[in-house]
Amino acid sequence: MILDIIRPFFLGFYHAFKRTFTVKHPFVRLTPTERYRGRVVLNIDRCISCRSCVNICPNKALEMVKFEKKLIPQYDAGRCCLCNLCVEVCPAIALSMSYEVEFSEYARKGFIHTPDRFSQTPKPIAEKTVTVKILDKKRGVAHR
Amino acid sequence: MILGLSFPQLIELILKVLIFPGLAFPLLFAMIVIWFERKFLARIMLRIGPLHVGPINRTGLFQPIADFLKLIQKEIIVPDNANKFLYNIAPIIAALVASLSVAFIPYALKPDGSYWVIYYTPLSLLVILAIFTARPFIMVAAGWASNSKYCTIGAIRAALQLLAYEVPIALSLASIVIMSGTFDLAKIVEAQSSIWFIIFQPIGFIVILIAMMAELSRRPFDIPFAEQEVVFGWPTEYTGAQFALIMVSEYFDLCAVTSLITVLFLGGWSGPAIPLLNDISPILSGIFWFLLKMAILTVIIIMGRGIYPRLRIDQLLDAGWSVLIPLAITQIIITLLTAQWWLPLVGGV
Repeated sequence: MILDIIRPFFLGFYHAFKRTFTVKHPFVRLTPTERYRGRVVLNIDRCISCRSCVNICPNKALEMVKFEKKLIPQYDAGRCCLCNLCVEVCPAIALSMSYEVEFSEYARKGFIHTPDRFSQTPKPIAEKTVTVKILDKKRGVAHR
Repeated sequence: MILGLSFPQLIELILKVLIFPGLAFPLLFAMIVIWFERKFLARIMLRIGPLHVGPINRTGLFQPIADFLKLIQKEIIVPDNANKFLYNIAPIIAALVASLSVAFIPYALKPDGSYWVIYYTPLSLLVILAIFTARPFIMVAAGWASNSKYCTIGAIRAALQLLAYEVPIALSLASIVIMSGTFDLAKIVEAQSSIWFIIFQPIGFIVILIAMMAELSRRPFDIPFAEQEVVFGWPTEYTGAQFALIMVSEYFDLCAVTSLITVLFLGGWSGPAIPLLNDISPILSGIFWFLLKMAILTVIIIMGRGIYPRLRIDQLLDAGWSVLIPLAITQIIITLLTAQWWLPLVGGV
């Protein structure tokens, strides 16, 4: 029992001098994994205006609008819950998930992605990125 | 001659009251310990802790100052049904009482044979014990005055916790008093000039360390604060500057407790003279040893927050009455039985 009380002290000191796991996010980012679920991206050329995505969206984040003589979904990032249902249901494989997750805007209007903004692929991450695997290798411990 | 003191004495008094054991020292201690606590606990949890505020890059050294400045800017909110007078005065009294006890602790020996202490009294140990006992009453008053369920429950827990630690503290102080034959903290330090009391009384040291951690409501015994159960315990309703005062008073208390344990068990200022400091003044050398011992104790007390889970109130009371008190009494009996061996070694009494 006394050992149980004393042992945490040594463990605490041992951990205090180990390397930290923190990734300093705005300056260093984790590389997104293969099946990362970020903002939905539309490929306008592939879209066949079938409304499947609008029908299945649980949060009504998608809405059909007229764009270049064609009905195209418009996307509200403030409503989207990143559930991946629209991507799964799309028959023409026009929708896909990207790695963009930073949605903050000053007004609610800013969340609405009109079809031309919706179809833009997000900017590649310019900053330094770190992958989880490299982190594990460096620290010598696997995430559990 | 002002206040019946000559000019050098007056300068010394001002130095004592405003800088070393007085005003500046507990504030600086609180600042450094808050920073160290955040950084050290973060490292135990494999995080980084505060990073960006302060002069040295990637240390976050001024984070406590930034937090304090933020807190004193905030609005002070008094709950509608609170007892306004008691509610407003409780944080001030808490900070005052917590900083009062450093006035009675001797921090160094001066070359002329007197002590570096703000107010010298031969009963300083009793005075400090009385000051420590006053703190739970402030907690109860503040918790009751807030008129909120979390505050009331936290205050009741603080009062219950008092039952667990107060008796072991008194009993282990008793064995110190038996050994040194005095209530005077300075004389207790002088009695340890050859061998520290921690060598004679390891059980008493452990008992008083645990009991003082309960007194300070540090992690394994932070039952009055218990975030998961009662939000933040008795100071839940406090905001802004009042909350800052309460937080600072916690660290003033930590300062007083570590100083007291250093004086009682670790030989206070005694230690080999440091060449460079000793040339300036032998007081500085004593203060250096005192602060070093305080720092080691502080690390041990702070570490509990990173490594232990919280006890339940019944477990704490059980441990207090059925483990700590018997251990403290055992220490008294051992002290009395071995009197013939330690009596020649205790110097100055």
